[in-house]
Amino acid sequence: MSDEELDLAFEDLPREKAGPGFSAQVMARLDGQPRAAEPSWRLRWATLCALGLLAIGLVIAFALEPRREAEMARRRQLQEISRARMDLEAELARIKAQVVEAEPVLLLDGRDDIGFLLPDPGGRELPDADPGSLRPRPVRLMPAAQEAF
Amino acid sequence: MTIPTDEELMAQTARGDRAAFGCLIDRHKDALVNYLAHLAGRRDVAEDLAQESFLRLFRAAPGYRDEGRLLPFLFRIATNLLRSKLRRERGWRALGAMFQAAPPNPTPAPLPSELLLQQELRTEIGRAIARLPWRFRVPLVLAAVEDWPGPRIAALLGCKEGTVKSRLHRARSLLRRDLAHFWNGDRP
Repeated sequence: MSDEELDLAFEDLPREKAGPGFSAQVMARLDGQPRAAEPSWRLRWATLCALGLLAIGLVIAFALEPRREAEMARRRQLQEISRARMDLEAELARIKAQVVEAEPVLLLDGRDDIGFLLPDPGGRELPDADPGSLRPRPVRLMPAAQEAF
Repeated sequence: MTIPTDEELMAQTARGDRAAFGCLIDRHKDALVNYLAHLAGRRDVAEDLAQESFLRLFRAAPGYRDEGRLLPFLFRIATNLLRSKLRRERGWRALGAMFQAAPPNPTPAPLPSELLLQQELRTEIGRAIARLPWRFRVPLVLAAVEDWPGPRIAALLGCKEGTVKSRLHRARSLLRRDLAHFWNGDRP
């Protein structure tokens, strides 16, 4: 097919024309169609971007959710451990206080239900080594103690 | 009485003169409908898109700067509208084909063989134009159907005149190749 034949073919193409009421229809649409009826491309892009960001946010949120839950569980465990440690420390402090308060004793001997107690220095030098405090004093033995002797 | 130019009519339109805009419509409506019909390869969309193009031209009138390029401006609006429409349709075509019944095929009245051949050639050229890639189709229709000069096409496309010439050359060679089987009579 030559260029001339192609040109002839183009010339032979029918020319389309606008319909009879074309201008009137455009004018009617001018009156009837508000300008803001169709959103501008900027608005469309803004909507698309907002939707895209929302989708990305949701994906990230869903992706991070298991990690966040694991972190929460870990924190809860740490809190429990910390609380248990505090309880233990409090218990230890209470026991230590009891031990300090308790007077170390040395059971010398006794009769059936009476023994003699002497403060036990335990090889240590007592801070307030009052000779009077080392004086034995009689105590009533409990039945278990009696059996031990 | 002198005939007002496009630019003068556009300036009047920008001032709210609807009669001037009516003159613009009357002056260019046929060319625009013809251009769109050949560009789309369909008559049904041409008129509606041409109306929409004029509406957009009217809305753009207050911000329009006269550079002597009203026609490329109007045709660019129409081209973009058609391109958007075809893109949307392409997206829905696959889905629509599942539900849409094939349009009824009108039975043409019998014609003498020469007329029949001529009509067939027109149809075939229209189809071949519609099959061209967009960047070749637009300048080809403007040049071959609307008889636009190169600089005006370049103004519409926003490219250099040399680019227009090159695209026209390529479009014609693609068209010749596409029509060869029909022209040589070895149509399957």
